[in-house]
Amino acid sequence: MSLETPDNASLWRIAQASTAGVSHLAHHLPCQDFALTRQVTTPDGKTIVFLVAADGAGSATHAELGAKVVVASFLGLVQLALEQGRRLTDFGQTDINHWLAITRQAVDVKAAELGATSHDLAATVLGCCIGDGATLWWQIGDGAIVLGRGPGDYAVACWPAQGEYANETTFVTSANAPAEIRWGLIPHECPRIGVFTDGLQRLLLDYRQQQPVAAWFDVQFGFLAGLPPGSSPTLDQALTTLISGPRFVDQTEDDRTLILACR
Amino acid sequence: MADQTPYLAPVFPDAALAENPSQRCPVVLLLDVSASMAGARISELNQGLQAFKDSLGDDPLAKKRVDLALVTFGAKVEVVHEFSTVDAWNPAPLVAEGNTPMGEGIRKALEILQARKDQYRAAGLTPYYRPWVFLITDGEPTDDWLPAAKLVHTGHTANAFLFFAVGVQDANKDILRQICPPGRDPVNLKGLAYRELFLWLSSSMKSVSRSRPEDKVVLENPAAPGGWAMT
Repeated sequence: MSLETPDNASLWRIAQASTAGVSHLAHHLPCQDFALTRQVTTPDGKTIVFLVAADGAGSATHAELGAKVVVASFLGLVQLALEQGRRLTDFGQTDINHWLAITRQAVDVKAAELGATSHDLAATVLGCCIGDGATLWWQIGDGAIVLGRGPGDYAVACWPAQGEYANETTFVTSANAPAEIRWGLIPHECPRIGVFTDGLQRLLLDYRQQQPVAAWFDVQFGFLAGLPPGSSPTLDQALTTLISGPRFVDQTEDDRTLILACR
Repeated sequence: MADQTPYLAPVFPDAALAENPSQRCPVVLLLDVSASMAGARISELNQGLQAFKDSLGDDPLAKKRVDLALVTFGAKVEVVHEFSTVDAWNPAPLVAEGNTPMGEGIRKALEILQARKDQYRAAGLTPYYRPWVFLITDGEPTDDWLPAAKLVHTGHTANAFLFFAVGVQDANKDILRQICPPGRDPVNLKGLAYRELFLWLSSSMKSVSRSRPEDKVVLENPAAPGGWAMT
């Protein structure tokens, strides 16, 4: 089956933004986060949404590229599996492992081209795929995915950074990535999704309550729901403006990536 | 497009974010204040400490994150200042007197560090940054330092902290080397360049406190020309 880009029959609104942190600007580093979103329609008229983001490691010389390779690989692999007739509800550990293995190979190939090692392209990954009556998410490293059922009703797919030390995480390229990948398949389509890298996790998650900041997500999803369906550079720019605002800049020096999707 | 209506760019609403406590970056200064430090050494040390506080206080992130304690060893081993952020850090000038109970000083430093980690955990202040223990001495231990050296090595192996030692002038470098974890040799202070040392430490803490996941924080080489160390 082939997946078509939907016309505006889809009800999803999707905005994404990535912006460099002040510590990156100070060191003349580019934004090392990357995100891709996509909305497709199956021949039988089902809409499937893909939201994928990655945070390239600050210490990796080709982190920016690593984040792109990782995001494109995961998104492409999930979409390919669906095009080959797999259903979202069928995916399991074997698929997740397979996507990770192929992605690690893709990083190795890109690293070899550059005369670098895969660690020079180290990046985390956060992915979510919604449609066909299910929500599939997966994650390696920090950052978080917020899944919402409606106003005031949000949960974090996987709480970030469980380690003892703040400046440590797992990357797609880490030796322990296969053991550290987290994923879940929820048997319904979450109507509100937030995906964000670690630069935003202490701003959008309440660490004392171990919950997303529901009031913040309510405001943003409420706003988004009032806009026409689809995605647009204008909307992405508006989200970039939001996460570049003083509230955000005053509290984090890191790169920030945010994807918001709702219907 | 036929029917052009003016299009207003969307503006996402401003809304309050989470107010989480800052992630902590614990540092223990472990300083020799034995009698041999009297005179220019203690005076330079005190000035260096002041420069350290001022420099950290100028950095918005380090100010919130660096959690600083001061342990001295001399006439006695003393926690001169409990852990606090830079704002609340105001130890009285140090006075040089007594022996050099370095072993007990190290034990005390590691003990308060462990207690602080437990407090972080109890308060939900995890994760935190890898702690630093920074020892400065101009002499040699007058107590049994071997068990303390073992604690340093064990902690280093367990990744519990980073241990740095600086020897000033007549410091016994052989013993310092045995106290330091393998591969982390002590560094010699150039003259009495305490000020430069503490400015370097401040700059290093700023780098650490803004480091990103799995960053290998690159520290400026203190033995470079103009630096505070000599080889």
